Amino acid sequence: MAKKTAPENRPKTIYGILILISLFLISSCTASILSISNTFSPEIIEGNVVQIPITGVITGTKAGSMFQNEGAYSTEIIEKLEKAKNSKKVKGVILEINSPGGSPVASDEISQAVKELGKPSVAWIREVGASGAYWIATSSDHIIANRMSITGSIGVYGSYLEFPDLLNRYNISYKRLVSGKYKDAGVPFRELEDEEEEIIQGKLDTLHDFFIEEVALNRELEEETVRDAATGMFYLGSEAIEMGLIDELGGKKEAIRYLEQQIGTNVTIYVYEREPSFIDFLAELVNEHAYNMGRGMSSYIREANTFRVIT
Amino acid sequence: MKKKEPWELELPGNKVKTKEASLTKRVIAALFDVIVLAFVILNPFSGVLGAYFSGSFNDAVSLAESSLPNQIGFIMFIIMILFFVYFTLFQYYYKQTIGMMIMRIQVHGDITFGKCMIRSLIGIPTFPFYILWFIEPLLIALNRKALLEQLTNTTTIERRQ
Repeated sequence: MAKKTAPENRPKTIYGILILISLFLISSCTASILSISNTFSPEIIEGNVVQIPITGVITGTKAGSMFQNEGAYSTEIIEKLEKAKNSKKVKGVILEINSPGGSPVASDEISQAVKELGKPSVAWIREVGASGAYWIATSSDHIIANRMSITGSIGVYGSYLEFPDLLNRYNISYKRLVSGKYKDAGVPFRELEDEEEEIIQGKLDTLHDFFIEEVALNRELEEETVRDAATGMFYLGSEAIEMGLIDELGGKKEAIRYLEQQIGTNVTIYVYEREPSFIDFLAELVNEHAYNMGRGMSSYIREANTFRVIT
Repeated sequence: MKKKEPWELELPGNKVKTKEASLTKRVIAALFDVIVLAFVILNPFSGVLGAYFSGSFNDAVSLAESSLPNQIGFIMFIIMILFFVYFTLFQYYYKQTIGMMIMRIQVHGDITFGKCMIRSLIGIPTFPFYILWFIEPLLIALNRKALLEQLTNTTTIERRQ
């Protein structure tokens, strides 16, 4: 059969334009279909207790850092808490906490939402539930942690790196142009002056006081007791229970048992899921196909290189 | 190009000289193609991808939901196909992409649709094809013949009068 070769005569320019228009239309239609089918609407499918994960650094929005692969975003968590609050089916909430803390504002926002839940809640601390994450945990009715969980770390830090000497070494100077003498306090390109350091330290101390007050209020402890523990040090679960910072040592089983006692019935847990769309189905198909292709190729290569004894 | 009448003499001044296209011209042509493809193919997806990320590179590597990698993979697959179609069709019908037209270089040789498809593999912006973006310029810089051109027995030339 003769090979199909390129046409001798150059096609008219209009055909090239039509190709570009067709590609644009295909892209636009595909993007439109994706946009329509891709709406996130957390729906509780069934069950009476919702498990809400609080995993990663706590921030307000999704604008994370390059090193942050997964974060606890207060807007999303509060949305889930409000859904749980408004749902007649949901009788209780488990906060599955695995977070080193994060933004004080975001932590306080989530903490307030937990307090306003109006239903029994239990904070289940897994590997880490420290700083802002511990703040959130104290808002729940009951805190459970493993004996080796890291919790506490009741403190605030605003440390940062300064580079003035590095800049000076390379003859780079920082030109200070500000209106308001403290406007550039904390800028890493110059040294922090003593007066500025004192002011910023004062603000950190204020945040620290807010943190201590919240923990004392939520845990029904004396403020002085909490202040003694609020050195910023983290505590293992086994230490925290002796200090009154948590209620029980255990895991998910204990969290479920607590809620069963509170709601008076068996617990069926559901995690929030996004309803998969048609595009999710297609995407899964493509990825599965690609995965199996790779797996097939690698197993072929592995078998070809395997030492075998043939008898 | 104007059709030469039988009585027209092939005078030296009328001769069209051809030579292998330089690496610089090929790279610039590729950049022009990227600009065209950004408008035609990538721009419609900017809204969808913007819904996932706030637009920064940092967000592009920070995926908060497990279903997102699947969806983005699917979008990249579509983009890959469309890029491939662009390069294949233009090289087959016009022997040039738009970038090549601007830089006045073109494909030369026994051009078939299959060969154009092979040549177009370099235009696919996903793994493993983007490895060619490093291999091809290196080969061209060393011996003037790209890998895909060797496979398809075609070349890229520039025409000068």
